[in-house]
Amino acid sequence: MMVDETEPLKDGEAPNNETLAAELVLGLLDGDEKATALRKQLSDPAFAKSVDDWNRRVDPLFQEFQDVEPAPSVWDGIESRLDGGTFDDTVVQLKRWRMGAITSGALAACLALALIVGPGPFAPTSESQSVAVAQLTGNIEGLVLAVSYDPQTAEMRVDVDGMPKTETEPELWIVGRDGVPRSLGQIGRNGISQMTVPSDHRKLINAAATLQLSMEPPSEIPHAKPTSEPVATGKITII
Amino acid sequence: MPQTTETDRARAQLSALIGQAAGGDRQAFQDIYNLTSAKLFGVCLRILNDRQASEDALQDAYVKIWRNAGRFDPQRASPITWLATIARNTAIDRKRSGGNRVMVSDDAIKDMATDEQSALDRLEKQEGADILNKCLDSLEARQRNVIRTAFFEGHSYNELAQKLDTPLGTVKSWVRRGLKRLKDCMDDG
Repeated sequence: MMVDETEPLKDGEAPNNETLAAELVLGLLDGDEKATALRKQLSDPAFAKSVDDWNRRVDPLFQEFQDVEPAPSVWDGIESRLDGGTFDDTVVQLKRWRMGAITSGALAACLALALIVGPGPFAPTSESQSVAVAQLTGNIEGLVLAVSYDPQTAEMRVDVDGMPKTETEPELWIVGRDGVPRSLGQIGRNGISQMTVPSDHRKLINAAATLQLSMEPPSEIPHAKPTSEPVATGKITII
Repeated sequence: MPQTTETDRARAQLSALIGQAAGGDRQAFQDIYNLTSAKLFGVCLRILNDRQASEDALQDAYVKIWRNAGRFDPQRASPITWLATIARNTAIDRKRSGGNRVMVSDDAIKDMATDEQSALDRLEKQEGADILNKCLDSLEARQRNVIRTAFFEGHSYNELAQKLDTPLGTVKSWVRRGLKRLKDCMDDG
């Protein structure tokens, strides 16, 4: 059958697994779509193999990136982060947090996911030693967010469950001692979003801070300040 | 062929260093950094288009490499691809999380020319490059350009559509039809 190459795809047309794997490898996916694909990579060995295959296919393109020497200070920064992060807190807090966490289905699911051994060399990384966690809840029935943050990689994972349909997008804010919300960007409406926290916001992530979620107009870049009241909040705990 | 032997040896050396780093060997990790940081920094810089943000991303990438070295499987990926993929994904995550407010460059759709190859590039020279390039060349120009731009600049579908001032569905069509042709072509050898 002839395919009309000029005809656009219908909006919302779902890609097949092979296409989805390529889209994940190329980095075309965002938000929910990316989170869903990453989860699929962990749970579906056939899909994980497609991802490996696509990584192999595009592999030669890496030759085309130009070599550029980074500043010598970059190595010093790396070295200082190899042993432990900026956090060292007590086992007591860990135990308290674990007891509280067990009741949360969303968080339990998040932990279960983290325990799955990655099926391929490009699987999302999940292990961690010292992490910050938070559970966010609010007035919306059924809305739960489980957040974990690894200070060594500056990666934050947010697992969202029970987000109702709205025209606005969920945006995550960190509120430090000064009480000023600073945006960590918009996250997926459901499932796991993964992000690298900007360096100037990392120092705010400590046991004195709160995370807030507000619903904001869609934006590729973080807003300067929230335009609405938070729909969910939660204290950060260091474990 | 002598070059192949040299390539294999360099690859085996890098794989061995990653193995040693997985066992906690700091010196091996520093050797990995010295051998690969210019390549990985080039990857971050291309995607983030900002030196400070790229240096932050590079730090994040190497911390991830150190902590995940035990997961590297030389049977499944070449060492430099494994390292560069971590750097590329880290840079893309940083760009999307708003850690860097990047304006996409106006020449996003131009063909990416390569200058001379570094020692590391020669290390990675492989038969796969010929077939990939042959198959990319067989695509329609707009399919090829949109796939290459996505790879080299780390754009999402939405960013590409915005950049090209083209409806999202049309951009998806170009990419998906291009990817399908690319796969068919490469699978045929």
